[in-house]
Amino acid sequence: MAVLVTGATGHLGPHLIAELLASARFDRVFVVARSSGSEPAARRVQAIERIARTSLTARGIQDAGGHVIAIDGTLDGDRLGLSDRDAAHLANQVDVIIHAAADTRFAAPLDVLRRSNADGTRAVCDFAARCARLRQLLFVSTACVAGQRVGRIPEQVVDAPGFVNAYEQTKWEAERIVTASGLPSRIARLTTCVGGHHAGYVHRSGAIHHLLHWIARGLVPMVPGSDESRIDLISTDVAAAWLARVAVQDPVDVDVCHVALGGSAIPLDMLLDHVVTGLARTGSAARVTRPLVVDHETFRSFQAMVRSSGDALFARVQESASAMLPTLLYPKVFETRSAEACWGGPLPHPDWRSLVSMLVAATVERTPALARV
Amino acid sequence: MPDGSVIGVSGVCGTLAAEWRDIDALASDGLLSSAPGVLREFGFNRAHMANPASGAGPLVLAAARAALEDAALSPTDIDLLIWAGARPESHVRPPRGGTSADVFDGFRYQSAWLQEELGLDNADVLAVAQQGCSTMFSALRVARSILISEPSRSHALCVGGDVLPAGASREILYNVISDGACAVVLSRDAMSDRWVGFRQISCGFYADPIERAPEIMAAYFPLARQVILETLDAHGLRPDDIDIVIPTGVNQASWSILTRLVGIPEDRVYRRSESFGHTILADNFIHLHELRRDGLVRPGQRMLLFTYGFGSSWCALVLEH
Repeated sequence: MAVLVTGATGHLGPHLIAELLASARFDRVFVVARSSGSEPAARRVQAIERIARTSLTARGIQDAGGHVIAIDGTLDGDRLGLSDRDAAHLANQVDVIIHAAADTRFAAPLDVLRRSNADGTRAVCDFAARCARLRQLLFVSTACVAGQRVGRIPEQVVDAPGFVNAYEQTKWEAERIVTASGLPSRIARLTTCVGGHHAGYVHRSGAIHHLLHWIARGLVPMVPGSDESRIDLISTDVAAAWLARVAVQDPVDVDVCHVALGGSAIPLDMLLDHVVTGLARTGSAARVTRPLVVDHETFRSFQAMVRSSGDALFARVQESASAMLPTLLYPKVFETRSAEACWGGPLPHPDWRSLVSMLVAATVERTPALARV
Repeated sequence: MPDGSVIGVSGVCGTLAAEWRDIDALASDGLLSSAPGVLREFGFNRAHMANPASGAGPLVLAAARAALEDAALSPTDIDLLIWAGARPESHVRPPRGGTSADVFDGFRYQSAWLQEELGLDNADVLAVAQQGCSTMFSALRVARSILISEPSRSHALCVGGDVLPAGASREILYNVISDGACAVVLSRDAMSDRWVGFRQISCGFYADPIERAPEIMAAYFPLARQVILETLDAHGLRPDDIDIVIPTGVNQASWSILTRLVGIPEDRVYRRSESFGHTILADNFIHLHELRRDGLVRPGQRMLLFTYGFGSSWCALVLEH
């Protein structure tokens, strides 16, 4: 079979490509990438493929020899930026589309994120409609579409909740586009992917990594939340493995699955304790104060104080943190029954402590300011 | 061995430089880094400014005399004098001729001068430094420790004050700085403001207030909360047991946040009608003086004093009136 992947140059990319190659179900893996500045799409894709194959070798996994083929394209229109002929040629081959491309900058403006996340998804759906052999459009969404909902979050398409940021909103909009497309589709809502647990590898940093960076620098005195706040962190390897497995399972209807810890999500206080302990063990040069968990009013007052002070670094930290942190005020637990049914049982999440320790070590390693002189 | 005596505040006074200038005038003279509007939002509207040529001596002398009177003590009753100064220059007399060319100028200590000015003929004299705004807290801590360990001593006079040099910026880390001084008499078996507990957290990582300014701002609240809760916990107190929070003069919004973090109702923070800015080390004791003078604290009420000082140290002190 042939699979078309978007977003392979993002955080999930190398992990997903590795799992698709290891699955032995796809002899062709088409990777859509945009040529960037002086770097042609083919070279970008080659780099991703190299990382993927290296990781498989390190894990002692023999990939089945599938071919990774770069497609120099964009998510504009129904031809992915390709010529009519090339688009038709590609559409005739594709059995599965995994649409993982997204702009994950939480603090970006709504119109910017809408162009990438909603309009880009529409373009993929329009292309998918041309794929005569299509068995599944697997849309990589995010659990963040639950927005300001609290409590148990079902694996269903839901009406618009309030949203904490534009990222949440535009991913929800993208889900609506997928469900309205009439295509055989499955929506995979991933919770926060922190990196691969096999090799401790983080391909591209996201909001969680930025936040951890600032905590490691001792610049996050408080986060909003409550006793009920939980953080659902998963290994990117597990997310990729799940996607690769369900890519060959034809959806029955529009399936919605939460690839998540669900009921095992980590209490915020425990996570912060573990992070701070981990940072202390790394011998970081910074002095980390354990962030306090505070109510919304206190957090808002502190942010207002920081804004008024005009301190440039602090303002940067707060801007980075404030796009993501308010989600902690809406404690929720993601149901995972559908995701587990697709997998054939509970997902093989690694122990969260070892995952977080890996994340902490990677953060310190990537932050020169933390190196001891 | 501690003799079980109760140590408390028998006298206190705070003084501010008589002259002051408002925020706009300070800004016009280039003595502020932040916009006046921002500083007003933080609760500041003026800075009290003493004559730099005189140093902190006159302010401290006035506070000390008033504190002795408040304690109903004569100078010869004082067994111990401790001078507290946040800045190195605050420990020596203003140089003769206006510049410190002579090495001996560095030995003309303010504490010795004050002893003579007040006639504290029976006092041992020492000084405390290198704690920024929390220097006075440490002076009191040392005084109390000496009173406990040396039962023959009954009264300690702790004084502190800082005057910024001419042309110095009047803003430090978004706080408007005033020149002021304070004096506190700690006495054995004092009938008011009994010393309940004290705790300090010192962290040399934050030694450089310029290089580590963002980190200090980030650490301020968590460590403030920690030191306050540890002080309360060590003495079997809960946040709700604190009747009055005696603040420093720093950014008023920060006190709202801190009390929420600790769990003390915000309306228990003493707020003066007119802000005097931040006098580096005298704020809490200027406020304590006002509370006692104006009858705003009742017997049995517990007061929490908190400050942060460059170096860095976070200090919490609980007194019971």
